[in-house]
Amino acid sequence: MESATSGAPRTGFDVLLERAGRARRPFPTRLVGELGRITGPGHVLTRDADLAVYARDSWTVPALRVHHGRPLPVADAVVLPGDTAEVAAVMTLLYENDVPVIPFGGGSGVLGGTLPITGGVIVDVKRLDKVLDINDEGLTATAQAGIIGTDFETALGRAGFTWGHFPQSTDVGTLGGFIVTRSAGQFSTKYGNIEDILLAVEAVLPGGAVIRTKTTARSSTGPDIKSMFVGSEGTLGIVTEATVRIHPRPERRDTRAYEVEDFADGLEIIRRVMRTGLRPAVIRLYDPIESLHSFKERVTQGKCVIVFFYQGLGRLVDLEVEVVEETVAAFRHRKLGSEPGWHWYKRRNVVSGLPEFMTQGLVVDTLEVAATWERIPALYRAMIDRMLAVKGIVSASAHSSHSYSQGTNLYVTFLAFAPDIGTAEALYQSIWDAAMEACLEAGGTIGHHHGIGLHRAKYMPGEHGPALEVLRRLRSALDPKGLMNPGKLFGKVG
Amino acid sequence: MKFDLSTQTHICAICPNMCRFLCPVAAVEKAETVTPRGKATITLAVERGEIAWDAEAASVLYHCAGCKMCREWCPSNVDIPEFTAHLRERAGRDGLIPDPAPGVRDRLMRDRSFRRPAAELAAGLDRYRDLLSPEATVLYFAGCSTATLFPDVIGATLRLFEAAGVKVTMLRPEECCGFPLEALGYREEAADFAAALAESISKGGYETIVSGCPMCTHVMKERYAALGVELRAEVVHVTEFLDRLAGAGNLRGGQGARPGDGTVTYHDPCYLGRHQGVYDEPRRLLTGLGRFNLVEVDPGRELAACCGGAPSIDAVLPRTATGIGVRRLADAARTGAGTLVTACPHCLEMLGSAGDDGGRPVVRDIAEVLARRLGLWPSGGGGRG
Repeated sequence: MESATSGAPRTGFDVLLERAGRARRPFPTRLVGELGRITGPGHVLTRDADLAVYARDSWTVPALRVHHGRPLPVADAVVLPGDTAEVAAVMTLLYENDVPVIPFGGGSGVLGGTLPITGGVIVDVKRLDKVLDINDEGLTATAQAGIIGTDFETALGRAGFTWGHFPQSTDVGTLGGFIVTRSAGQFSTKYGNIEDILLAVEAVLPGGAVIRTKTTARSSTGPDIKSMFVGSEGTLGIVTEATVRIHPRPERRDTRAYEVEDFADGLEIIRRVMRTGLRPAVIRLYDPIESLHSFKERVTQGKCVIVFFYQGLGRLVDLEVEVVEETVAAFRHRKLGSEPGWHWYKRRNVVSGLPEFMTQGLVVDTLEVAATWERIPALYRAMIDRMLAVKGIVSASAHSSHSYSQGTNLYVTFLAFAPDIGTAEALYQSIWDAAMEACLEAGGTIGHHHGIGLHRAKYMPGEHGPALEVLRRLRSALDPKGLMNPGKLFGKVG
Repeated sequence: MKFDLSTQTHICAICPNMCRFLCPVAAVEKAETVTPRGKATITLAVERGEIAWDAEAASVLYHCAGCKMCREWCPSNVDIPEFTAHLRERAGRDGLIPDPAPGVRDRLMRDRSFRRPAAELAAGLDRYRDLLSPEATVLYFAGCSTATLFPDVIGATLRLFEAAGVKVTMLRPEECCGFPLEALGYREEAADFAAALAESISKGGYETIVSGCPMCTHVMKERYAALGVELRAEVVHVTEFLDRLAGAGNLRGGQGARPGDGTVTYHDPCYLGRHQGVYDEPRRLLTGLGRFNLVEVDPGRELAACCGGAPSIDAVLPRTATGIGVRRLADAARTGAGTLVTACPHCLEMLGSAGDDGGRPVVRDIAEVLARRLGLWPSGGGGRG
């Protein structure tokens, strides 16, 4: 099921896959037995059924191809090591034999970061699923990288803690995946993003060497090695273990929502709140389309909803509520009470719309960008306008969901009508190109928390300019054979 | 709503797999292949001829406990156990049911019972003859797992019926309800057992069938019709039946209640809870009739984790099933309760044997703990663990 074509016209993705397919190397089948000797034969998967399932993550394009019955490239094998030593032995074996390695966590990435486009072996780390230490005094927790986010939080919760990191994929994704995709959680405004939460990593380098960075409150010992793995997307090695900051479980939770006149007013309210130094756990501002979609009859058509969600020390929550109320009072607004916030909280991880839209002939996807405050209003307008100019798009809308003293993100959702795979992939690419170009022109960053994967790699030169060379050289130094997760992050295959 | 296999697999295959953390099989085996989306992806690929429908592909469909946890979570109402059942049936038609299931079928067809020959079990039930009324219209269907592994539960249950003034009888011999066969994909064989039971029911003129095994009540309530068998009697689980009796004042606690700390926890069997919606009855019995202090397992009720005991998984993947059981036992142990009560012989068996002995609660059947609490059943013996 590897190469495309069943009579249907070739799509852009077909071309990409064909190019990648030419870089595919012959897989020495004896390696299946050798991998089995490392992990136990039951942990090496080579059935067509296994390879078909591992052919994708949660990116829209592979989902479209599954929907339309178009092929996807498959790996030569999948291996599930049971501990760091087994990961190291697997990496040694594969590197010695020039076999591409595709690290795999929960497969929840939305940009094709785990697609085995040149074949090779997928290394699924989910058997590394143990919580190793919860340190009350130092407020740290150490776990293996394959633990599912929710399982990690459940274990911490039973001990009276939270790690505060809740990407929408928390029920699917793994600790290691959250690190290497440079993820953000829904409560990041209070707890920070993964780079703020991560204290130390253990990783297996290409070739099999195991490194571990030191757990400390802070260190001035050269460039931060653990940070090199944050956002590395499997190109520098495989993260096998991590130590993170944790927090006592929140004493209290509260939420308030307001209707404001327009998106610009909402942004200004958030900017002023963030300037105070207070950190409500969640601040979400929806543009008029998303306000209506998310809150329906609770909101006046054309107006915007802003939701604040607070948690932590009770007195701090009181103070945050008070300061936000004062800030909002300076703008025309209507109080919506606590119900919209709880409504969001209950439905925050429901994504059933994605498959349902697709089965109705629609393409739906999300993309997330960020910028400093002075650029955000123009960035929002430019992106939405440019995307809406693409023929075939049905809607483009946005919300802000992760804020900082210096700026915020925009989480953009688009819908397009595309009944066949050719139209769908072409339209999808055109809309993304329009969005990314508008973002770069307006001074934004092309990715806030989904990472790069396969899909966004083509925009990396525009994002980083000559600075991208630093990442290229780092990658070449650690992976001179170019075997780690081919095609991801840098775009170039091989 | 009519079950549409094609639509269900299609929606599930293009979904982001948000339910994967709740799948007990995926939690133990770890491979993406056995997640709900994995199974849907394979099913869709098979339907389209993208991968061969062979023993390898069919075997993936047996990595499902049938616990319905994913169905409980799914906002699109995708029913993985339902489409797994459809495909297991197809595997049965095509001779693709994986080992060791064919051995289970052969033994069952020979013995007419899942665990031990039905004739042997019948002999073992003679000791309860005095508690039966041949003319009764209520049939107590013990189930072969209870009869084999926990015969004292039968005695305790019959004592409860007696205390409530309910006359019951039992079949002799009592054959398998057909659940293991139906769950493994042996439709025709399951239908054979269902028809035999329906005939016995019809001959006896029973109006109500009461069983302490949720698999038995599930297959009779929810599957017999699809197997082409009409059961002309109401089917209820023991907890539903006893709850009615207690609610009507026919079964009272109090006088005979034995001393003790009285704190118990309760495990919701998947086939009683999510499959049949029976959550409140066992709790009312424990806290009302039994006057126990009930501490809930987290997670419980609709999101109660599977224990892996159902033959749908335990009969084909015993190591996976035990791994699931160990996880569930840990949930129960965290409550600190010394006694874990459940209402299913398969849960009783799995939870009573999984994990280390240290810190494990004693696992007991609900009828047994109630009968003991009411002074209707002697101390000692009973459930394992």
